[in-house]
Amino acid sequence: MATEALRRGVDAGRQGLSGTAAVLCTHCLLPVPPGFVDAEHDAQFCCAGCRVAFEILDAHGLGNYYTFAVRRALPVQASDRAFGEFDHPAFRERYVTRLPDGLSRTELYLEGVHCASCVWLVERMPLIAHGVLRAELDVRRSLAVVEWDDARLPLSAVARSLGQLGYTPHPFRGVTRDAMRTREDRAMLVRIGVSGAIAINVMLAAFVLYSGSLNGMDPSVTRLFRWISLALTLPDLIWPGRVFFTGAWASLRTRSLHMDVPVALALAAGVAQGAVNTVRDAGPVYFDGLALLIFALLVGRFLQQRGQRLATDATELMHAVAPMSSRIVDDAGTRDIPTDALLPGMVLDVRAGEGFGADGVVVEGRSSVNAALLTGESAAVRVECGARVYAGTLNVDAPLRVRVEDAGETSRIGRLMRQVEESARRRAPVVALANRVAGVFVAVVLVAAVVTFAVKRHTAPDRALDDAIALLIVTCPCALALATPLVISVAMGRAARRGMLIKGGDALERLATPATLVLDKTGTVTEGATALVSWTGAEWVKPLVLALEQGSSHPIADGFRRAWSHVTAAESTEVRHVAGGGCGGHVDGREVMVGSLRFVLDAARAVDPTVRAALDGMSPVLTPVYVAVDGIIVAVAGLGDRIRDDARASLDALRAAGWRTVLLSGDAPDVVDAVGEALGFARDDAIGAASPEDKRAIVQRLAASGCVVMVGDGVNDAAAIAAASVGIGVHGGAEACLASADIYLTRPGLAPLVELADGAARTMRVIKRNIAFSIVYNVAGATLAVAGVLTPLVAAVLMPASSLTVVLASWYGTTFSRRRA
Amino acid sequence: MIPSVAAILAASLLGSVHCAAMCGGFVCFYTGSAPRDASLVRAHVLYHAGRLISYVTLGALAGLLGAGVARAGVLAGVGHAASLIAGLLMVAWAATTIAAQRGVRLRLPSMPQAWPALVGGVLQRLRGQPLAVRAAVTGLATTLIPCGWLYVYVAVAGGTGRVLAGMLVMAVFWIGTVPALAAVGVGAQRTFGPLRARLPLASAVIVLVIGMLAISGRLASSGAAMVHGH
Repeated sequence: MATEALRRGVDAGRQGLSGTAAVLCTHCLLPVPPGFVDAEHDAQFCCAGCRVAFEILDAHGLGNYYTFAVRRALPVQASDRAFGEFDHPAFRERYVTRLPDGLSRTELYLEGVHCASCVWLVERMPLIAHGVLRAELDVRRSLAVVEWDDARLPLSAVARSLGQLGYTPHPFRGVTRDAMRTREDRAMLVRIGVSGAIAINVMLAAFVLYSGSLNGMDPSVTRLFRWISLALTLPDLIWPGRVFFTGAWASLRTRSLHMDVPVALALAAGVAQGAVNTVRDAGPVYFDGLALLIFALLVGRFLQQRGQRLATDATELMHAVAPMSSRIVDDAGTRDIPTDALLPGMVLDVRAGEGFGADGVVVEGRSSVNAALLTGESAAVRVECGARVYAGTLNVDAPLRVRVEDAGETSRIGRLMRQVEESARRRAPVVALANRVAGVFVAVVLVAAVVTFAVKRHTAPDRALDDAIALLIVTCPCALALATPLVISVAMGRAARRGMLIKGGDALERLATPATLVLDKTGTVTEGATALVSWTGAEWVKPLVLALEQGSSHPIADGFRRAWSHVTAAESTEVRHVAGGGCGGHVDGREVMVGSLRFVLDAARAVDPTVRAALDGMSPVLTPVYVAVDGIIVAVAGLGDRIRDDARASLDALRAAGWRTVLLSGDAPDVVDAVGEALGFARDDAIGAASPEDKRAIVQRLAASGCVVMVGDGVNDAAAIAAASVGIGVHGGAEACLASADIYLTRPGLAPLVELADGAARTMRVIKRNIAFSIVYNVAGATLAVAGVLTPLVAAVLMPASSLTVVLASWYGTTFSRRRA
Repeated sequence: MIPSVAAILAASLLGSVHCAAMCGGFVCFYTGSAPRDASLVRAHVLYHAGRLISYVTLGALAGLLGAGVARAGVLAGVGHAASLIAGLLMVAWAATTIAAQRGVRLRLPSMPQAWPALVGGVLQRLRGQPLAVRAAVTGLATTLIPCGWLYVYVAVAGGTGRVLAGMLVMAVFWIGTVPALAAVGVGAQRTFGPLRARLPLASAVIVLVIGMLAISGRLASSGAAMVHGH
């Protein structure tokens, strides 16, 4: 009773695990010894036990174990989806990895993995899907790894097979990068650990040798310890130290000089010379220094990788704005899947208060959406059928059904984050310079070593090789080629933790020198929303005003509501709104009017004496709102865009550091002047009524005479931000502004600006200190080596000591505060 | 005693990849679609307990048989007849496997058709039973499958020539198989990945070594030591 699935399973068995000659046991899938392969039968077995087990299961109707789907007692929610999207090139690009042996590999999130036997079942995929060669299931994460031959079977067919088994597959991407990083880290740490252990042991042997040479140790013991050092150092060079040789080789192949070249050369020369001296039983061996050198360089490299990672990781913090899982709706009902697994065409069910996991179009429901993250707009926007919603925004009022159009990296927020990540890889000019200088440096050192060797062969033949090796070892481009990017990466990582996402090292470098700082007004130095700034009137008036403003969507009403969130509104009747005027109505039997003076004067006959003074002393920056109760003006409120609390102190600190500050706004000139005066801007440096084009022109004019930093939050600032030497987007800014900015501040207020300028200056100081140290060290070391003062041993001790000095100086150098904001 | 126990345990642990692959289907048979909760854990415990009972019983029978052979051997003037015969069986099994592995064309020994029919019938009747019963009986019935690997250990048990030592051998063998079978539920392939392809040869070599030890008489003496504990 061989079922169709069984026959296919047998085929799979013949194809083998890796597509090679191995034949797999029909029952247990282990390889069948070639001698047991029975060409006359379909089914193949590795042992008699498997054959009987198979016969037992097959002959008694239990054979449907091999057809799997029927096996479960529970009704299987077999999916009959076609999974056509799995064959789409874009899908393959994102989720499928090509393996070196021509197979393809993907990770799929499986629905419905619930019991232990699911593992057994999924791992037998090679039996049911012709062309699948391996399937593994991690039951904890419901994650299957599938390897298949793309030439024989499209991924959609694999997905269909899984779907028919009742495990609807979804693409999964989230964990791969983390897993890869962990693997990389682990490999590097193992290398560091091995080279550290070897270094310690070689140092111990060296210690014996040094103390022995002082105390007249027996030559045979000395010889033994020299051989032990050699035996320990060779594996160190071959395994952990191999990275430098591969690096040097790669650099030679691309015809560029990398710092790995002299390091590899010195390591090879040093070990060769040490080995020769060990065999000759004469002359110094430098194994302790070399082992330590390998260890120190590996540690430096690891720290550098970590530093760079911190910078890119910080941008991932932003990914946290989209929910981890999303609820999708289809014929089978409603269920949660990871947001990473969303695909275009799926329908999302998003309840009030939840975030959207992908970009899409509303297909059912009516609600409002808070898109503050993308647009900077703090008020919620109404949406209904046909409206577009975006990942990372928030559904405020009522449940919505949304058809996914763009998910993951193709969504708006995903694209934005990718831009941030890409520009994060941009190199700072100082790094590029350091790399160029390092290339020249390496060439100079190589030439100097050759010249030293050639000259000394004639003058002092016995020291020629020693001195040349000492020169190669003692000179070290670390501070140039390693510590500079390290300082910048560490600074960027720490800044990110403090809420300052810096996209490129170049921005950091430019910020280090005080120049011109141009600030947008609305939303940057002010809060960007209408707020109640002054109130002259009695407390009992407040509930009356709130009663009228309750249902209004006007910014003024919004300002009152936010200011008086603790006040309980009274009941109002017959409320009427007059566009451009205000609103009036009956509250607790009184007639209340709130609005402009002209509107209120329509009905008001008198002014309460307590508010008379306030009527005249109102700041021109504020919009006055009058309140009349039963014909008497009893209160006056000043509403406007409130200046941020930390603005004055932050600007003063920047000015004290040497920055020229300019206020640039599209707002009315008198408003801009008033704000400028309040914040201590020079009269000419508070510019109002500037259109986006004007802003750009002004920034360009300023940039002609030096570095200009533009700080803004809105779409109207985007062009100016792009034109500036350094563009900074502030908290709550619009998407266009974030995309063109070099730096994005995730903390509100202007205080981060001060910290940023300060940190940038300190970062450059640490870099300069490193470079100075490196120059002094290298010049001194090279001179001593050429002069023959330095033995290779001393050189080998000095070099890692200098590397460690710069690496530690970079790590502990004060750039940005290490504490998380 | 410890070296023998350790050797049997190590060999059993290594070879248990085969058990996981072969008996995984039976584990899935009794779990069915049971949810992952306490009752499933209890079922697993019952299944393994069932296996333990049937293994130890088999070990006792083999030991009894071995004792008889040993006694007959003494009469015939052979010092360690049970161990010798067990050793020869093991060497034969290992040699066949290695030969098959090297490409020598062989036929798998076949069982009468009635045998799978019988065991299958038992399982068939079990399908309607509660989870705990299904698990326990499946465990008890495991020894009914003529698995070469299992019967190599039965031979070792017989080779000890003592009932208690035979039972002990099978108990140790059982301990070695538990981890792999328990791993069926969490991904056996991952656990044993690279080992799978080398498995038949590796286990054959181990059996060959144990078999030669048995023939040389060392296994018999250590088997005796296992029981006396000295």
